[in-house]
Amino acid sequence: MNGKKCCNELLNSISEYLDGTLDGERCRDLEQHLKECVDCNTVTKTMRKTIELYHEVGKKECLPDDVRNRLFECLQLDEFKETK
Amino acid sequence: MSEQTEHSIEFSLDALRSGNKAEFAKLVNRYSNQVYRIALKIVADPVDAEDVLQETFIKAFRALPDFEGRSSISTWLFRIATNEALMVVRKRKPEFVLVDEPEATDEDENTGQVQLTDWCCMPEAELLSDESRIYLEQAVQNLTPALRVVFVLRDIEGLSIKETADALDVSEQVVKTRLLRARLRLREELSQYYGSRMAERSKK
Repeated sequence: MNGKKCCNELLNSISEYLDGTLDGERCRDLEQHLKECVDCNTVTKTMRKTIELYHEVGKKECLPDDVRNRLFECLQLDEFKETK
Repeated sequence: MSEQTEHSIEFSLDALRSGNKAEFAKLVNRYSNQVYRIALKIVADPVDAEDVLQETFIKAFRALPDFEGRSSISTWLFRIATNEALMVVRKRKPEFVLVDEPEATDEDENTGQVQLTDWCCMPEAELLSDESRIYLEQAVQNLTPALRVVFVLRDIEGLSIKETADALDVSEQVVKTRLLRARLRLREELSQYYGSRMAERSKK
């Protein structure tokens, strides 16, 4: 896909497309292009999946209990600490 | 309205500004998890991340009387946290000026080779195996701090473009440009990794 103008344009607007902020006409042009270009379709799918994976993994990471306890202690807020 | 802004309705700004400890504790209970995650992703070290976490809430408590409410309270907290975390990164590597991303043109990003393996069909268990998670983490750490922080706030923590811009004190256009670069680089790295995993599987 290197060197193809339409594909390079996709790479520049792919992020806004995935965020749903690409304006109407550019969005329609891009969707039309995605129907015709297997490579760009793959780039779009894998970028969406990349974002999903990071979001999924990130949300599961929690503040360890000992770190949380020390935080409340250093802020002198022990009495207000909610139980998890 | 995004999730972040809605939560700020839970807090009484007057109580927070006047130093009410119970109200401040609500803020700590609500956001300590997220502040820690952001810090850990930026500094990549649990001890440093804990320092950033504590420092963020200490500074927030002191600065609350002057909080004007132009952004939501969470965005304001994340701004303190990212500034603290980036300061740790800057101190650690004074020889690099990597913290600020050079403003390359969009074309620069597209000149490299593009991986075209479609790995989306791989089983979830493999996409998120222990080994894959280590690779995911490493790929984020390979980004410059300026790109990493945008990706962490927007795509991992789910802030809007506007909230990310407010938290980093940059324009929305800068956020969009950096986000595009971060996403392209991570997609490329993940495609290389999962592509080689798929090739290994097909040999077996």
